[in-house]
Amino acid sequence: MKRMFLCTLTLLLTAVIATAQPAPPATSPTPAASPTATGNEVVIAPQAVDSDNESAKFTEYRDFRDGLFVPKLRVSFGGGSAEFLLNARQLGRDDQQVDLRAGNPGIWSGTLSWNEIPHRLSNDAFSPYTYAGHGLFTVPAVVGILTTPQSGTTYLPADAAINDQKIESYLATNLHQLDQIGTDRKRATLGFVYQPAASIELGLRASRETKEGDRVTFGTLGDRPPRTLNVELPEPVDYLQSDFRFEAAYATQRYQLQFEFAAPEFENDVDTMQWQSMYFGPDSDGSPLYNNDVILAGDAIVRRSISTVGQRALAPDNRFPNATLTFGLNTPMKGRLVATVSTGRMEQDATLLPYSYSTLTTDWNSTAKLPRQSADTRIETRLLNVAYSFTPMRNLTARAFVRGYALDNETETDRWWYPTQDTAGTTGGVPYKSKRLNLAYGYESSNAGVEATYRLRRSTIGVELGHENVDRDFREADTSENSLRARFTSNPLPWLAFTARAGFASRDAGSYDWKASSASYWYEQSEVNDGDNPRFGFVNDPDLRRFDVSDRERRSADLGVTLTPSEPLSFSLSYNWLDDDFDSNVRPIQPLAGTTFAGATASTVGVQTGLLTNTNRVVAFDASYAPAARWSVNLFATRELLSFDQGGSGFDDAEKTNKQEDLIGVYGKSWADPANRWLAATDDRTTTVGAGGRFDVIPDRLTFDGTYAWSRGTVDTSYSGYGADKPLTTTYSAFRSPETARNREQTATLGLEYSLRKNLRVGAHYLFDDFETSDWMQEPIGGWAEQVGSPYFVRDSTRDNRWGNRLPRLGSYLAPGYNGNVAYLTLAYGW
Amino acid sequence: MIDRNRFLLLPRLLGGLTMFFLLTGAARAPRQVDWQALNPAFKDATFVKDTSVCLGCHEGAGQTYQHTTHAKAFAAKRTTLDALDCEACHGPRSKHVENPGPELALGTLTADQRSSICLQCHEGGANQMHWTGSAHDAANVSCDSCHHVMEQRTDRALLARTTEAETCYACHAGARGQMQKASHHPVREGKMSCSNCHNPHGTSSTALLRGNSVNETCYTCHADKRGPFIWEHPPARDNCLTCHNAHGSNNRSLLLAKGAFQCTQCHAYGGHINVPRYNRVSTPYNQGCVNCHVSVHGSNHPSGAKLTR
Repeated sequence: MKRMFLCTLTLLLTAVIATAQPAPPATSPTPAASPTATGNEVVIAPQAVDSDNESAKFTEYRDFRDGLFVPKLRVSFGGGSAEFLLNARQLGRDDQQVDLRAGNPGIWSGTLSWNEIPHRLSNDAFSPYTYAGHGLFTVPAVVGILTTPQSGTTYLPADAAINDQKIESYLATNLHQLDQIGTDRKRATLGFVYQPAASIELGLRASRETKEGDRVTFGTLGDRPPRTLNVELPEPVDYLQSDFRFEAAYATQRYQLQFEFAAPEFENDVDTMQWQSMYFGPDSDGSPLYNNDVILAGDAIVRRSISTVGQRALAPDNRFPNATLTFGLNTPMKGRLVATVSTGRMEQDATLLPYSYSTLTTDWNSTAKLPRQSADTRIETRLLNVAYSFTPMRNLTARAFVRGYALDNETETDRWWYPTQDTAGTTGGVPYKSKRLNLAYGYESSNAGVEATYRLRRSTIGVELGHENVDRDFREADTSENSLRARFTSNPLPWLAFTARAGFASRDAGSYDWKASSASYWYEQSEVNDGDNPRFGFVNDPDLRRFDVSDRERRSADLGVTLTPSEPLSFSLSYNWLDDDFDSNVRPIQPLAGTTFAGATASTVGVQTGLLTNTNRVVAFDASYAPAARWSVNLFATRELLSFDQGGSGFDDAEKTNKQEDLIGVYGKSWADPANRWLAATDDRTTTVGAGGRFDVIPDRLTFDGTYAWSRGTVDTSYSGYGADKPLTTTYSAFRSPETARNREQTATLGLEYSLRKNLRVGAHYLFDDFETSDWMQEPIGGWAEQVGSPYFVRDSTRDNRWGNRLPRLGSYLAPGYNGNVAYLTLAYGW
Repeated sequence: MIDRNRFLLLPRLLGGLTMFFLLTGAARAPRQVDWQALNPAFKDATFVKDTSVCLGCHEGAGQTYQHTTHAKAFAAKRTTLDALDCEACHGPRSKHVENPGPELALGTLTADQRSSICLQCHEGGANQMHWTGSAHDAANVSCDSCHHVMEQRTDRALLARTTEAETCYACHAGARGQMQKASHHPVREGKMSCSNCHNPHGTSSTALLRGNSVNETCYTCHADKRGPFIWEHPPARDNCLTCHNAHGSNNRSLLLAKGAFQCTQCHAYGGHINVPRYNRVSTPYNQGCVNCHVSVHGSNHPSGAKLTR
């Protein structure tokens, strides 16, 4: 890629030199060139970095390190018929960017850019896994966990404790620090725009981006959740993203046309990820399968075959060729019609993996068992957008629009199996519930609206009515929404501007089909042999409304004031409020009515669960004061409060079709029991304040600048209801309101620049960055989880015999809080 | 593997379009504003067509202006407006030359009147085609709210403030606070800008997004999430913003809620997926439900029905 970049750079330079001609005689005298307005400059800086823990968060999207680099390089030359501009930042660092532009303004221009974007995720990860290349992760040895009870026929917490100790010892011996986890994007973009005539513009753009490194993922093995053997480990990232784009535009006084064709493609060099089980190895026959012993299975003992290697399909190669045509027409009465038609096709045809890495005794590792051999997925996209605005009478502008957008999923539906987490019975069988259909989800949305804007001398009043319909395949509801928005802006005084907006929208989900997800199973009722039955029971709590397709009433208001009492002084203050109420008028129903299940006559609680309300409030203040060219200051402050309420119900799958009356009052069993309901109210607050300033201590000689920003975010969740009053060691679902999760960051920059000579400047710069974080999801501080020996192994605090509640992991805070200092001196030379 | 034969049509398409434009192309005569309609004081004013007259009084402005992209483009003399130079944007100035004063100052015009001056040249192309009636146009934002057309203060786009983000924050101050959150796109680090996702001049999409939908916009950089997948997760296919806040979050990966609280907003099956903590699974720590349901954007594994592979 770098070679391509250099070759193109050479070609562009050649073109510039070849086309550089003396400027044509000006039709009128022009002032002398100012060397500073677009001056050339190179800045060289030695840098020193001090960070207390080298946190990946400190260098998340940037590269700080000791040594010499070029923070800025700007070179421009030419004039008249050809000009050249090179702009580079952070040269020599992993976040460097180079932009090069050459051309003859108004006739042609060529651009070439190189942009590197790091994304550091962890500096402190430990794992027993080693990446062996080609998507394979290996371990040096296996734990050798007990898969049978020490005595009796039931696997007990005491058996689990022995295994926990084995894992703890294993990790103590086999953990090694991983290289920094993260990715590096490197993007080269080449563009060329040519105007053969003033009315025509043709453009070509090609880009090629690599993204390499790794990120954090998980490798599950074993069985479904109670028995899943999970581990956190890195996922290799080796992406190539390319794009080719052609644009043509044609403009006349009356109309404009614009055509664009784009062909983005994505290729993943690692299609499959595999990981060896760290828990146990293959049987003595050497096949990658473990089935000789009775496998731990929660409370019950069931003989199972388990793959000793996990396998997962990573992001598939895909492409999205698309074309867009836009037409703009100026019509009488200051009218303007703009129509856009766009079509595209997202598709991929990756070769499929077999169901499992291992045979699971009956060839589940053979692709012959699959209904098809490649993904062959395809979604057609279509857009039609037409907007017309005109001025029927003085000061009144009317606008109408219609918009249709469709995702037409043409992927074929097939009958698949779901061998749970690479596990099957020792006969090779998988449960009836594992017969699954892939549903080709798609939707069509259509919007229409009318707006009227009345412009007074110093004020504007606007009203907008809108309507939206969304038809969805395989979802619970189609939705229909009406909206009304009004706005008022005014400049009553030259130094005062005022804006107010209000909106109301009502979305109707019609008859919400809570059975929609059942369509993804293909077993017959004759196969049903337990109460945990998704297809003929239900997949989701019938009282739940998925908020993205539920009824919704949305109210919003925005207020803004801008004051400019004098030219150099300005203040702005704004308040934004948005409130969503997803109340869908849920009533008790009998979800199993008409079936032969014992629970056929039971009714739901009739109280909505899922996301119930959502409110966002933001207050923002901004001020700037620049009384003279010599100095300026600015201030800003924002306060954001996001609040949402959600509810749920703690019921048991296995009891789903059983007689609910007998289960009411039994903790965590019945979906008809109001006592199993829980509520969680979350407040997510962020406060940010900052200031910046610049002062020419000695005009044209010594300049000081500084910035400061302080930000604090907290997430508070108040949990009540189901399980909140039970001891945290209670089997299954006791929970508490978690501790407040906090992020706090303060950054300050100081800079001092001194001009030694007209073209020579020296400077001293300093950056201070301090970040603290505390999150109950990252460290076991809530009482319901605990470390086992080290931060690299966490388990549920009940310490019971379930495997799904244990997680060997890469660490707690993979990118922890930090205190970082960066200092650099600059030597700038301009010409 | 990607079949490239489908793109054989492309060269023909490009050739045909190029020929069409070349054959129909002609010196452009931009739509000129009616200056008298903008300001009746322009009545009887005529074009002086002599920049030296302007520079006689406005030399300082001329010095900064000459380095702008505008000045260079005007020098190409490709349109009838180019010949008018200063008066292309400032209107006929004969009366102003005779009697210099503020009567014809552009600052007295309304926002849409000032924008109409810019639209003389900038009405076409992908960027400004949708300006008229767009969210910013309707909100009384004018071109000169964001662009300082007389001085090249920034390397591109003649922006009014030092960076693009700063220009947007002047009105969207709340977005500045969101970008300061712990989980954020690299805007404050200067590796992205608002216009990577939004076109402030209007689009055919919602929220001034560049893509035809939220997801088409996100897939521009996150093409690994594009699929399509055998096993789709409908809310993810619908709208990335169902679970993420692109402007910043106090939760990991720009998520709207923490851990299982994100998933239980839509899932209540029974057992481990209807409560935030269930001791059979590891939802209350690390990445919550994603600890096992890793392919939450869609799975291409034949037994990926539950997005675990």
